[in-house]
Amino acid sequence: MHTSSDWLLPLDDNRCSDPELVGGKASQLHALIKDDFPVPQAWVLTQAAFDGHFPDASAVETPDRPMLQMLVQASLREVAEELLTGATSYLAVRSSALAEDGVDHSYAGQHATYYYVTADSLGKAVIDCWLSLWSDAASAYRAQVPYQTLFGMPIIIQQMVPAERSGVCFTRDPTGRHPQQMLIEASWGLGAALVDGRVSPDRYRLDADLNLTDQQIGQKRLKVVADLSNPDGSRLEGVPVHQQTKPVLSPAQATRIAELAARAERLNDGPQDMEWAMVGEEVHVLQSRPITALPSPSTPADITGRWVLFKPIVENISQPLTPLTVDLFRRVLPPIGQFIQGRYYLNADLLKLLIPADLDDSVLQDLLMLRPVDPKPPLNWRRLPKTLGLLIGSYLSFGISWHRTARVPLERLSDFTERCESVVADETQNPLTILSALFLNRNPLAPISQLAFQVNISAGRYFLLTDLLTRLLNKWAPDFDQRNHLALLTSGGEAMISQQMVEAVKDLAKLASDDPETRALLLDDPIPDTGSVLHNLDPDQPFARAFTGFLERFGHRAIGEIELMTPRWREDASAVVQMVRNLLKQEGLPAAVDPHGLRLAAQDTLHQALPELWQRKLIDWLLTRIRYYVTARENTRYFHTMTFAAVRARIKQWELALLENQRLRCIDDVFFLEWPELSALEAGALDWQDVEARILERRRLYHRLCDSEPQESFNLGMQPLADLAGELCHGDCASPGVAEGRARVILNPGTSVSIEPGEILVAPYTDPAWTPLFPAAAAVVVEVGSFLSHAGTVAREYQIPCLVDVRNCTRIIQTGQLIRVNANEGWVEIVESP
Amino acid sequence: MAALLVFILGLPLAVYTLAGFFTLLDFTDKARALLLITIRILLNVILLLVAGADTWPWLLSAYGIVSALHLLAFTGVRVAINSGRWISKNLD
Repeated sequence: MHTSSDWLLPLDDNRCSDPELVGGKASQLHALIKDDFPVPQAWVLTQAAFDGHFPDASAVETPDRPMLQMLVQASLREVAEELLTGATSYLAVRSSALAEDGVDHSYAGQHATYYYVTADSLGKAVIDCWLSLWSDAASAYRAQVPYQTLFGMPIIIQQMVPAERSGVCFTRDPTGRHPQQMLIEASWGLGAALVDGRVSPDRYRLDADLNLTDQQIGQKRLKVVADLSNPDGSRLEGVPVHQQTKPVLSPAQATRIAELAARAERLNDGPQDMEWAMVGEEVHVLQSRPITALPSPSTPADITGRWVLFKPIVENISQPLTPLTVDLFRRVLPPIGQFIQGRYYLNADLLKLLIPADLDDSVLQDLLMLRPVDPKPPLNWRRLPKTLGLLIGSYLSFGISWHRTARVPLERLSDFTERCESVVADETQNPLTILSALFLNRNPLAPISQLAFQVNISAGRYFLLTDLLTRLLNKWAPDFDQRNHLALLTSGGEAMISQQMVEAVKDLAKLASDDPETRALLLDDPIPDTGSVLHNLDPDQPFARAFTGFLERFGHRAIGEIELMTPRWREDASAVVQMVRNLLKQEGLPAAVDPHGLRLAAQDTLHQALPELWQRKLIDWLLTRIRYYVTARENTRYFHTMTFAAVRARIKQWELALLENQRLRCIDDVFFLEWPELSALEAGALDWQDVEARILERRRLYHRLCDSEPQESFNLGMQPLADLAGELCHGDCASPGVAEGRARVILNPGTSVSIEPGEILVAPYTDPAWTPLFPAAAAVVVEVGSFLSHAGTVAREYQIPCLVDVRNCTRIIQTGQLIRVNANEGWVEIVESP
Repeated sequence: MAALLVFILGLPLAVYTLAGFFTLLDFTDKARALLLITIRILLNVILLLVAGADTWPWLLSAYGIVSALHLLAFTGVRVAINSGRWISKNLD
């Protein structure tokens, strides 16, 4: 039985080892203090104090707050005086609820924490923290816990650490992907932004010897800083662009944090999740608790039918889409697919109707994932009439558009720009109507060039033509080296806008290289943001002019541009600056081989292999058509991504107004709303209180989904994929050749990570933003993708081997490993680990 | 028999020819568009000459069916999607 003398204890008091008196968090901190960990000085308002103030805690009555606050404030004055000494001007008030930080349930983020608390506001913060025990979120979390837990809320009153950087260190990877590695997550400012899922933190992995083996730099667009005018003492603030993709920790700092975490693991005899903060070079341990397994997002129960992940979207963005992006897209896409946990899945049964063959599930999945199927499934004659009926019906209904898309003058695609501008200029349009108008032009008499999305989809017919070409060449020219020549013959060439973008980046690098001042500015650390690049240069200076021109032309693009939350380059051009930096660092590299000359030479070889003139004519025609469709597909992407930029611009416009009138509190929260919620907020029918909890919950779910692998299919009865964690990974050949070199795993080309000449680029996916990394790479290995994906298309231009669809390659292969890529046979092998 | 043949062949020919008419909207080079349309109309004339001029109502009905289907596909899908009656599911 605890007495009132136990109400308030300094954290180093031996009584604080009792978790039933001070809660799990405080008792673990006590153990750390006793072991000389750098824990900020603290006191604990114990369970005895909680019991004294809330005698019937199971049914809380609204307490007499002013009275309670006065009592608490008076009893805490001494504590405040003791803690607020010297350099420390503020306190942090943290929950240490009895049920918290257990092995099974951490209750992380369920109870309130207050930062930058002053002596005067301490009483209020303590009471608010107590009352958070009965908040909707905490009650809901408790309801999910399958057994009875202790109920009560000791509180830690701690010296505030004004963290410049903070994060969490897991002594075992909680996702289970790398069980032998430590994982440190880090972001700028206080750790609350990380806990609430508002930033994508940096991730540092360390091996058992605490050596840094891998770092993934997140885009940390927000940080939590002090704001005494705010009730919880802090607020979210935008991170300067140049800091967003800068590593938070140096390798030495990461190792120091890992050493502390390893000590905590030994002390507590089990894997730990240690929260840390840094001020200058000083590391503080804020808490340490057993790792609770991250709950994998459970699969929705009501999935009927059979569904396969839609590869073209995964090729452009490996992360799930945010709720607003999903909700807008699902309103303009026909229901041939559905979104499941932020990813788009196609209806496998629909495809099955179109193919007159007996397809088993694995073949069906391969077809939908655009993987080669060998051997081809035999024809089923009984299914043929149904398939023919469907095809004829589709042709009669959609054939006119099909023929029109076959002859779009590619130069007329720029009409889409004007259409886009006219839709955006109309202030009455909302994000959904913009998306709908640009995706599904309602005017049947509009030129086909204004239907960039439809042209993009129908350009996929190049698959059929390539298949026909391969068959004809097998028959007519069996000796022709298709493996080495076909990719080159069918690549789009100089008319491709993405190729022009690469040239434009090269021009920027050349201009920067010619001017020592610009060169020094761009190679400066930290990476300069757009503003400083242009601010520090004379606007008439050639590089500044070219840079502005580049953003005018390509500013609507971005890395992962399908996601509406992604800032476009015209908003944040650090990725462009990074591309130019990469090229500047690679000066002196041999220029890329002229693909045009090589293509002509390959065509000559092909002509010599074909005996008859009519065969040569037919094959040339096929090649021309394939090149046309490849170019159409790549170029229409340039245009239809303007749609995403236009929709994002309108959402951001709305967001600004909502932030001003306090209906939203944090940038990018808007992307965690669904469309009806956003409309209602904009119309004033909802307020911040109505959406706050859902936004927080969706942010957390989104970050859990980001950390989990998407399921490739649902209800397809597939055998699980073979474990690829061996030394040989298989993929599809997108550009032929063989190469050996050190791997460079890059997850985001906009970060300050660059590739050294001769290294092999290993990436989750590639889009145009990755292209400038290609010239230095000896080969490219990509986790998702197909022959037509950007990685393959550009690799063929540069004549470097490229393997696509190498599942899990960014996890299996690590930076620094010596790997061998055989893009003729479709495998990559780890030869040696460093 | 000839009428049925004209109707059956007329369906894809109608798709092809109507797509040709749209080139007036799609192409900047109108002369090229007119040439393309002329060639496609000529194919219709040849079909009628071979099958007999009196089969023209069958060819016309093929055009009617294709036009109706095209309009339905083009506008019907848009109307259904825009009115929220044809919407992809979202499962969290």
